[in-house]
Amino acid sequence: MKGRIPRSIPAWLVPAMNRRSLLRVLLLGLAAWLFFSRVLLPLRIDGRSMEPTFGDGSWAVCNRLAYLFAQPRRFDVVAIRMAGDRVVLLKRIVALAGETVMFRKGVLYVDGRPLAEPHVQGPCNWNLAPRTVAPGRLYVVGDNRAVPMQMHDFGQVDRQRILGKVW
Amino acid sequence: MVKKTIYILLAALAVVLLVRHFFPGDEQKIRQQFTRLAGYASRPAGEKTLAGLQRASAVSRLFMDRAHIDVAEAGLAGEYDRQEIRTLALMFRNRFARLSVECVDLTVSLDRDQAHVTATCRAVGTAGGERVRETREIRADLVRGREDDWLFSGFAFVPVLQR
Repeated sequence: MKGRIPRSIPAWLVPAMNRRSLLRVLLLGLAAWLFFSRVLLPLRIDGRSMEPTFGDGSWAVCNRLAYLFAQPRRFDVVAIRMAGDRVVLLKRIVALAGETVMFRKGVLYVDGRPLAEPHVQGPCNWNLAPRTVAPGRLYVVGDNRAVPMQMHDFGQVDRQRILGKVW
Repeated sequence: MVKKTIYILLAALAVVLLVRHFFPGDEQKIRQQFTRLAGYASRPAGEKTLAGLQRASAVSRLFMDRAHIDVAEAGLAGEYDRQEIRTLALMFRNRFARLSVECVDLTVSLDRDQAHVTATCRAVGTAGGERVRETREIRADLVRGREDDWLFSGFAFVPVLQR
């Protein structure tokens, strides 16, 4: 018995099962795989270190071409590669190479000047002695500063580990 | 014709998967060791004490009799024998009421009877009533054992962020 396609479904949505259609499906699948693994990487957030900007369980997208012809800038949210790109860290750049970074009573200081961080909400009492960011590295921190400093992963990271800009 | 092509492709895929499953190469064997390590390190909710001991012993059997471990945040640096690794595994697992460990993004480089592996390990569980999520990049060295199996001879956390 042959099934019939209901008239309500447009014919172009159900192409004929021939060699050309199969090739189209394969090419489309390949293009989608390349685009979503090499250009725009979809990320599911697992953790609360970037709250309130990115909540636990929410989704984000990493643009892997963002830093092809541009350098990372302060306050960019970036994806940081670990051993590969299946599991990445999400952090915000707060200081660039050569800059001195510190926290005093929860306020971020770069090169001795306090910087306003509108993306940070909630109480923060972090204190961190000044340190200079090494060449070829960036200083990254999560937005959720309400957690104790000891429990928060942050610090200098190699520029090479930056996968792309996240939004 | 198209159906025939699809069937041939599926059959070829099935053959490849079966061959890989029953005749694993060195890289596949090494990946299986990581799967075992993650499985034994995991702790299901309500695990019995004896089962915990058996799993900690199983972790230690994946290592050489003397293995170099470098995990600064746990205060581990140096050579440890299997007995010590079993104790460390037991202490680590006992911190959690429930724990699920997973190793992803494995890169294996083989050099005859030695292998160097980098991977990302994720541990998700509950400890002290709170949810715990830790992700670390690891570097491991393995050597071929007497029975053509691969045993861990070195294990270290790779620092990604340095304060």
